[in-house]
Amino acid sequence: MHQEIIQQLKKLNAIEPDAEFVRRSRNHIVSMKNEPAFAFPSFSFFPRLSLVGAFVFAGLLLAIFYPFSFSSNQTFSALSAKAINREFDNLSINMQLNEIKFDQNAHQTIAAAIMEITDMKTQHLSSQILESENVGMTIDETGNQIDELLNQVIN
Amino acid sequence: MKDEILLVQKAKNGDNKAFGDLYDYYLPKIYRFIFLKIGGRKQDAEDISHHVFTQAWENMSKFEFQGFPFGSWLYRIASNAVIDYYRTFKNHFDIDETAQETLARDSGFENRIDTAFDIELAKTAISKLEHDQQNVVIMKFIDELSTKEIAQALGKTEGAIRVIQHRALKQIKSHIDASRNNPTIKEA
Repeated sequence: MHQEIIQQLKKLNAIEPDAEFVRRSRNHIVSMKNEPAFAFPSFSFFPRLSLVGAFVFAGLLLAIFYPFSFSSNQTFSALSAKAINREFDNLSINMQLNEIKFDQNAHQTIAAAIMEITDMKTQHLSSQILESENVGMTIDETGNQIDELLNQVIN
Repeated sequence: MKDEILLVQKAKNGDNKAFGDLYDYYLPKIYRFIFLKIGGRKQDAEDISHHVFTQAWENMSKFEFQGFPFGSWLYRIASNAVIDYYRTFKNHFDIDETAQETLARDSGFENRIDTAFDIELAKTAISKLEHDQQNVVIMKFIDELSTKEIAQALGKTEGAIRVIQHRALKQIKSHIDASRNNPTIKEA
């Protein structure tokens, strides 16, 4: 049955476009100018073109970034083991120097404090000042009462 | 087609005579495909065919040979053009009516075919198929493309094309059987 259907379908092959339409349509299309969008001599040229393009691009990148390559040495030196070791050595020396400086400051401060205590001329330890301060002080009655009460408790 | 690769290469370089030769060979096939896809509307089939070849000519530089005939590319353009056509005229279109009108208008067509009734029946059966089934049936049995070429044109695998073909023939058979048993079904 399928063969019979296929034979029927094949008869539709007789459908043809109108001759006048074909003539008009063909003339119109063929008269249209059609320039290739971008004319290359042949397809085999494409791989070569892309290779040349890659080299040109690489050269361009090199030309742009080469002047910066000197300054970049500084950045990369931070990653070398020797430079890191040298930096650590300097670090310990710096720490020791800081400690010495701190010790010196501490010693000076302590010495100054001792001097101040032992110095009788120091104002806040002067007996004359203490006496004058004592005179100025007023002892109220409540204080006397407290003293009496305390004495009673002791006795 | 003889010397197709050479003609395509010349057309890609802007040779309009070479494209004219490709036009002469492929136009009847593409026209037939479109004519049957849109239910036999002759005027529209002409307009769409012209549009397809204009598109092809304008985009020749983009075409690349991938081991398939140039026609596969044209069928793909035609298929898309038909989809666009249906999108535009979806609501103003009666497929059976126009097919009969076309036959009546083109009296020469009927004279060339002995079994006009069967032809009309086959056309109606095709119009009842799904979009992909129509494509496969027209390309395979009317324009006589190979399964490989159809697969390339429709962007499907050869296995998928065989499945679509089998289902389409089965559906055509059931439609023809039903029409013969009850002739009024054709007009339905």
